[in-house]
Amino acid sequence: MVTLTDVSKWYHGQSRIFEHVNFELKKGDFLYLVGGTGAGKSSLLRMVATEEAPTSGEVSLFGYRLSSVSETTLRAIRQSIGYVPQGVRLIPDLTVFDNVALSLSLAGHRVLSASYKAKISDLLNRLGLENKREKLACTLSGGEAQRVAVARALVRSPELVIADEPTGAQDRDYTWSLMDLFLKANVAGAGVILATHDREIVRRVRKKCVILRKGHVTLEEAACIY
Amino acid sequence: MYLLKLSLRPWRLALWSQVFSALAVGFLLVLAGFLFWMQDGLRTVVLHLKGEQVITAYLQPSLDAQAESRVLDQVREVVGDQSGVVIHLVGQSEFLDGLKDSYPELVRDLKDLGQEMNPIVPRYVSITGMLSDTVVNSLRKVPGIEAAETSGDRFRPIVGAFSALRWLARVIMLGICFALFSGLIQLARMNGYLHRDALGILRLWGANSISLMTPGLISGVLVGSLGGALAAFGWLTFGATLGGQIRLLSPVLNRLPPFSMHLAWVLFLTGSLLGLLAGALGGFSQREEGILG
Repeated sequence: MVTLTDVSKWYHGQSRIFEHVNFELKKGDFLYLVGGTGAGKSSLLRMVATEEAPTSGEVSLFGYRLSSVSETTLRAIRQSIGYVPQGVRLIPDLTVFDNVALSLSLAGHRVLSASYKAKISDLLNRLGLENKREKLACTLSGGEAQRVAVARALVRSPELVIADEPTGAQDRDYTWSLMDLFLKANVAGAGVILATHDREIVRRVRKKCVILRKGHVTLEEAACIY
Repeated sequence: MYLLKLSLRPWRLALWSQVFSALAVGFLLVLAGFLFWMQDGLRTVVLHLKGEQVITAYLQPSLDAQAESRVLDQVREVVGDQSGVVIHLVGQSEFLDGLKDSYPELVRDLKDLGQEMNPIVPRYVSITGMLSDTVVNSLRKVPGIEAAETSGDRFRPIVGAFSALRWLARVIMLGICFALFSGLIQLARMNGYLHRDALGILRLWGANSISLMTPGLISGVLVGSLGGALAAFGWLTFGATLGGQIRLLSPVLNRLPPFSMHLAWVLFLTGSLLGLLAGALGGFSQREEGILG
């Protein structure tokens, strides 16, 4: 589903972020991406989410090499991804409901059926946002915005979920609510890559780990000792 | 619906930029419309000034009444059978009648001269209408015509000035169009930057090119249409008054066409079209951003 082959990344005028990274995520895998601040977790996820290109190496998604896909294929790939970026990036002029619904609309559901509306409502209820659905996104707190971003990513039932520190601004209750949603998506067949520096999550929900340290990657197949 | 909401974002974040841009578009469009009206109207004026003449062909003083009639026939022959051309023989008594009100003593003195006034008081044929430039020269060759002059000679400098004015108006109109277009493109790009985050997210969600261009497109059309509407309003109010004043300046300028409702619509549509074009280009530049398209 996701294959990184000898991937390196430099930003212009800066030293390397990471180099010669190789790993693979199979369908239905759940993978933590862990590492200290500035280790390059977000850069790596941005590449997997098709937001950035690697400086060298190859990123393949669903069997397609991103360096050579057509615009149409790239669009289809993006429609299969549920991405929670680190900065959340909600559209501030839209309401909470509209932010989530827009994600569905761009995935081809131009007119929202009752079942999709119910799905959005259910997600918002689970994340304690039922009273915020008509609020503009710009009025939300950091934690609320983060939960809306997760709902937006999961509502389209993506084949691949990429989440960059999705629990960073949450209290413990909501942290586990969010983890529950990620695990359910995983059980439903979605591959999940979740970047976190929350050791408790990694210890309690034990999954494979990709550890970014000093620009290099270590893959721990079983118990993560982060 | 979501994209429409997004396209209204610049109006929330940078309201005055949008309003002043629309005002500028409106003002420049009115100016361009005025220049278009003037240069188009001056075409008719110049054509009339070039073609419409009053030729005065003076008869030799020695001509008797029979020869006078013969000359008049020859003049008709030279002028040809043109509609709207008036040929009129002004005899000595008619000439003096014309002077009577202004210079009664002079007329009395001239009449007292009897036959001796013949070499002093002119007889002439007046030819008025749309005439070609060659007519006056042909008339000069008619036996019995002493001299011929045309009003066209007097209007020649005015025709040159009006022609130059028409070209100047066209050049300024072109400049205004460039200014309008570049101004709207800059606005579209600024609006594009206001949309950038949202478009970045839409792109990552798999939005197609049309979805990515739509907010910029609608933003451009909104400003262009508002500017066009202001221009149409300005045209129908201030423009009409100004045009009326210009037409009253001289009988020559009175030939300028009256202001029309039609041009107001043209201004509105031009504003909308420019906005659409600038919005499309601004939106297109946003569509192109991003490393992976």
